Amino acid sequence: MFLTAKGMFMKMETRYHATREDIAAEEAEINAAKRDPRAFGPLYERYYERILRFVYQRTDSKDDAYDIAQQTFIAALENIGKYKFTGVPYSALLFRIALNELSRYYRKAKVRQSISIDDTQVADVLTEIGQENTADTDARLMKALQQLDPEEMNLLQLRFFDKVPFKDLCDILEISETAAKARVYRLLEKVKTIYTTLL
Amino acid sequence: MENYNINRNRKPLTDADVQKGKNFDAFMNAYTAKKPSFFRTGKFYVLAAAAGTVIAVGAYMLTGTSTPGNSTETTAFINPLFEEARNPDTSFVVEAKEGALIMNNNGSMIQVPKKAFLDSAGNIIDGKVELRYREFHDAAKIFMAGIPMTYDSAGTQYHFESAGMIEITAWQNGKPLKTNPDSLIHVAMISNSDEDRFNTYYLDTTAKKWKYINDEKAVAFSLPTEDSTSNSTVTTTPDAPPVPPKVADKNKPSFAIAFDPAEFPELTSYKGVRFQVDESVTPYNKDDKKVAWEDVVIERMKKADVLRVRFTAGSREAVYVTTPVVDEKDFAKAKASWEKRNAEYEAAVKAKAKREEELAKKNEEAMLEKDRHRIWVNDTMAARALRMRMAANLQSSTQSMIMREFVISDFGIWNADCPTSLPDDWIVNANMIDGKTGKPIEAHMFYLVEKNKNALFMYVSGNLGQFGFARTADNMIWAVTKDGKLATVSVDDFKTATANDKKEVTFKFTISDKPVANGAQARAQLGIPDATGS
Repeated sequence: MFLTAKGMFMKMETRYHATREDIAAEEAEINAAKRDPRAFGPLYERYYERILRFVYQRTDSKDDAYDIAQQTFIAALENIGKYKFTGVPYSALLFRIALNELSRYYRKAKVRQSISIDDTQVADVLTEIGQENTADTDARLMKALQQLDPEEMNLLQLRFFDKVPFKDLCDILEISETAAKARVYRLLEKVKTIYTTLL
Repeated sequence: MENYNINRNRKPLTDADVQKGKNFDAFMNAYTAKKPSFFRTGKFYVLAAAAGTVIAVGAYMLTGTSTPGNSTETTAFINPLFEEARNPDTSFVVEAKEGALIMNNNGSMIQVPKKAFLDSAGNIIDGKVELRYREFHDAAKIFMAGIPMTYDSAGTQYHFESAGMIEITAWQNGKPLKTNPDSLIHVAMISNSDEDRFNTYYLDTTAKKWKYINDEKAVAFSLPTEDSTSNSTVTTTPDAPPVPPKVADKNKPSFAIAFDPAEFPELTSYKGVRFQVDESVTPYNKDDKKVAWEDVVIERMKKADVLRVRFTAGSREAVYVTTPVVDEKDFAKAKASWEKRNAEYEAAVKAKAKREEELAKKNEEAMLEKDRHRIWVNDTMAARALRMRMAANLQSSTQSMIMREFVISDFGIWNADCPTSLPDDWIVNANMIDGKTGKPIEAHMFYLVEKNKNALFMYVSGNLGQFGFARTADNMIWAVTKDGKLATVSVDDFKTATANDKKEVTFKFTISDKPVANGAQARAQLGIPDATGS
């Protein structure tokens, strides 16, 4: 038996902030950086590793990842004066900027978008589309992924490879949680459809 | 068609890889380098003004002769208006071994812990130590002391507006002492502003620049608050332990449902996981498999391998207590996967325990520090300062009493500042002339001062074609002539200066008969009485 359910995803606690004090402290850090760029240090220190790892998952070399991560923080600092704090973690903006910088990099360097995936993640996606994990299904999924457009691929990476919870996904994509779930649902349907056509 | 490069099972970045790229100073250099050159921005004159001014006036003040066309030869950094303004005006004697709690005459407090002083060789010293101290709460005192108020951050030149500044140095037998990093002096300075926009800066006289320290906020003096913040906690907990796989019992009902692997990472060991119903709790209803359920919620129970699954469709609900299982054919794979994840989980638990231990130690230290600070604020500072205030009959019951705290990691000048740009509300071509003779003022730089604002906006004489100011402010201009006299434009005189159709404004200066010799003379001409008592 296989029971179907629409509301299969549940809320998670945010991974970004534990307390209101943390959020208030981050707002103070942002305001300090607006007044003085040198005060950007704590934000840089807090988020550098996550942004670098995020970027590395989407590039072929460490050197490119270093450059793009740095460019992400430069763009963030250049625009910090315009930033309006809404209670959303600053990291959401950094991830958005990182995605923009990655797009710019792919275009400028004329290289294909990169994705990093391991066997467990392949198995997870196969499970999501109701498939066994075999050498054959694995290879077919890899072919199916090649047919996703960049926006869909970004979503797939965020949700299934980076394991970003929905609460945080909607902050990064600037959409509601319901819309985020709907997009993921449609994405999985599309992967499933493409996968089936490859049979 | 290949649209993506797929990197399969690539090694993640190591901590060393991350550290290799993480360098805030290098990042700031890159950020600065990417900003447009000053020569391409309208702010070039600001930089030229500030740099040129400091250098040129330094030359004059030290040597008594200016060096036109070669102003980089002398590079004095702090240029007092008169010799007396070079050094702190108050001194306290402290027994180094015992420490002290000192109250300045305006209510600011200096807490000197035991063993707070080192000699030049780094040895803790005993005996009597002289603390030399002063505060700056208005533009006049800053101007008189000749302390530079420009600040470079990421390639942009700012001008400081101050919410209060202190200078503190320590001496024994005529020799300067150093701070002891293990026993730092705290200064709680009375400030006239409770705004949050001020950061803490230290004047590094060796590097000749202000150093950003932190964004320490003002604290209301009369309201020492109870600690409302909770201790830090380790916020990243390892996921739930992976559940060892069990083989499905063919005689018991089970079902498969999609679940969010991010929510239930412990189940991702399973390939083809099914949820086997525990009929001892709820008998399985075969009709449930025909229902198109609208929602399903999986909840963890106390036991790691027990999950409650709740299906809903409209008002219909079915709840089963289940155990995750796999078919026999998938068991070997699931077990191998579980072993791998379990090892990762155990490593994560160990790492978390270590982090918690470190954090507990930090929290304990922080609590002790907070306690010490609270006792100091509550029991001593507030009581003493309020007594002093009452005794002095300051008639300022409505005046805000705001404290800003500096932790003195180095002796010297500490400032609560907000970097600002030159005013650009109205930009004119300024002519600076002697009000008596009509001759141009010969000075290397001119300070625009807004009354009631602790800021000095500097313009060099060569760039008066871009003289900006706020039309709504009460503006003054201060300068030191090449023969050392004080030249000023008062608020009233500034207001009467009007622009012609070419946006040229002539400012008429009052010039002192001779170089000023002390603060009283200077303040009289600057029109800023000493209201702080500092």
